[in-house]
Amino acid sequence: MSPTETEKCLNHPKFKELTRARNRFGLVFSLIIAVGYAVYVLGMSFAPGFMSQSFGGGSMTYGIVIGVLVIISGMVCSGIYTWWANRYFDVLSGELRKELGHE
Amino acid sequence: MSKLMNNMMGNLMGKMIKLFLGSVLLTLSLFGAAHAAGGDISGAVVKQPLNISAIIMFLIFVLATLGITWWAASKTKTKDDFYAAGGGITPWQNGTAIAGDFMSAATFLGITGAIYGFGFDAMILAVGVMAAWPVILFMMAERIRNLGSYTFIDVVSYRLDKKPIRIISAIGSLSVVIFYLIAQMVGAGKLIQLLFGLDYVYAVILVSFLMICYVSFGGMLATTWVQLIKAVLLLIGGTFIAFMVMKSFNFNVEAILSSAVDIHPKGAAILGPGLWLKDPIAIISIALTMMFGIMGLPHILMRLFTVKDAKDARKSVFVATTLMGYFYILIIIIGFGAVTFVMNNPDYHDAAGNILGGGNMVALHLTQYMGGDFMLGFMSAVAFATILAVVAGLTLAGAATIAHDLYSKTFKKGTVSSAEEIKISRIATFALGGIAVVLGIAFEHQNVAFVASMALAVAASVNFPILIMSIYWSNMTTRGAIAGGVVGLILSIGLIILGPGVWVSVLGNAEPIFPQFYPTFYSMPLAFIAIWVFSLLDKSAQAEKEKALFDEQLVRSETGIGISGASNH
Repeated sequence: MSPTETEKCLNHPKFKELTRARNRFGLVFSLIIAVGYAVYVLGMSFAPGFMSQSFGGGSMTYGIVIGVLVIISGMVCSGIYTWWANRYFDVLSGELRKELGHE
Repeated sequence: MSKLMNNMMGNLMGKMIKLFLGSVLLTLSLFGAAHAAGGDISGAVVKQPLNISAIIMFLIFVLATLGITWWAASKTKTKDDFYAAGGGITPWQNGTAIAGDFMSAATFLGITGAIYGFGFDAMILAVGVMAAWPVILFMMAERIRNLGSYTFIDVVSYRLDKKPIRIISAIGSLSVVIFYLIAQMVGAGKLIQLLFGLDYVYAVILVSFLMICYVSFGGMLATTWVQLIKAVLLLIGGTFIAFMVMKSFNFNVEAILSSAVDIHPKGAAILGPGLWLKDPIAIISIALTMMFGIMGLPHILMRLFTVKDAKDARKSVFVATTLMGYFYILIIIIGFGAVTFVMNNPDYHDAAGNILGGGNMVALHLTQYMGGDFMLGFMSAVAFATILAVVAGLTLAGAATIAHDLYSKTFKKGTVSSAEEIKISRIATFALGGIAVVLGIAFEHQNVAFVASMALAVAASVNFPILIMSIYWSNMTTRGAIAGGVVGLILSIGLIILGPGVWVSVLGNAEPIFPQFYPTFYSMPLAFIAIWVFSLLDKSAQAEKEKALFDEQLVRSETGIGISGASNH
């Protein structure tokens, strides 16, 4: 790719829209996962009492619930991201490529 | 052969639990979720009597995969075929294969055993994995696919000075591959000894032989199918056992936990933190190692290049994440469920009260309890298949690094023909297979937990920082990347050697110089700082050139414009 083509792409409104939206989307979801994981890890490290506390009165503890929630949120967020990217980012990216004369 | 573990001291329940925990701790703790078979390293392995149904099912698996290899060999003509299956794998196939590449026998046998012994603390081995994969999807997968062609080293060398950056990344990549291979081989040898009654040396040679067949003849296509089939078998087996556990408790999760608390000698403590990981730095270190180590595993990243474009890479990682999340939830159920059915069951303990075959056999004892000898045979064969799939992926990644990144791109500057590169890859595959056998035998009686921890720690401290910064930080220069790589490599390996894993367990000193098993808490941040500082200090002309190339890289990583086509890239 030549420098002028690169320049053209970088300044293309659809490129800006695509990268801004995707970066924000990726970052927000990554933060959700990171925060969930941090709660789990820091809870284990600094609040073991809380993590061992009964959740709902039975044997189930907050620690186990949080751990399983991190796993489930990973699956759910991956699903939402992929669904959204397939429907939105790919369309945008396809239009951008066409307008730049690729494909 | 039948007198199991008669050389082990058998005492009271407490002592037995301690022993058990010791062996599981050393194996699993440090094998992490990603690691191998995790044979019982503390020497409790005694050969088992022949398990006929396991052997028959294993032979079926081997014949089927060799058949696939034969078919794949006829389709493997160019280096694209060899390294990336021609980019022709579908997202579903690739996602399943990624799960198969990643979930080793330690996931099923190891984490189950660890949860059985330590309860809650061991769950971090599952949760850490599931913190890594979604982030790989959100931040890395598509961009890596757009920037590279066969290995993650293609990505990091995109705009940097090719020769030095390829060399330092190749050192990181090959260290991970070799450490991981040693851990796998030792674990495999011990596991096969246990499951099939085969001598350790023959077991190691057999694994290496099959792995060389798959990789050198069938390349990525055969490796993909071995991983895919194994993932499906593992999921079927895991689903069956977890379902049977749930059924035994009328699908009441609360009842599984209460029953485990009643039976486990540690009681309710197994449902909260503290039985395994004692201090915050240990917990945070293992948490960082799990999450970021996975993001730097060369054999996993390599799988992203087997699909045709970034969109398919995204879908693959989604499939893989979902399958793994599902499987880790099963593992948690199986681990806590095993306490009820295995812990007080005399069938699975010897006269002295020690668990037969050591801590890693818990999952298989539960399988036998729930599904009889047939299921036991099935799962034993799956465990063996699992090892083969993981070592094949590792060896292929190592061979690609040697032939593509080092030989072709670095030393011959890209003048090598496709046929010659494949030839070099095959030689590298044989060499890695040989190294794996030699080291596997050399380390048979060693405590190899540290080797496995080195693999993930190096991945987190060398590969991951260079990779993520090269994608996102326009000001990274070659000098910065090299500085970060060297700092990460020296610290991660050095601190493990000075830590309890080597300094005390292997070298026999009384006190470790570095108190932690995992160095990542220090080594990873310092690698990032080194990249940052040395990049900013780099005022060379080369640095300016590299920064100027970032725009072009950004366009390609975001849009995929300029990536090589689907099947002929």
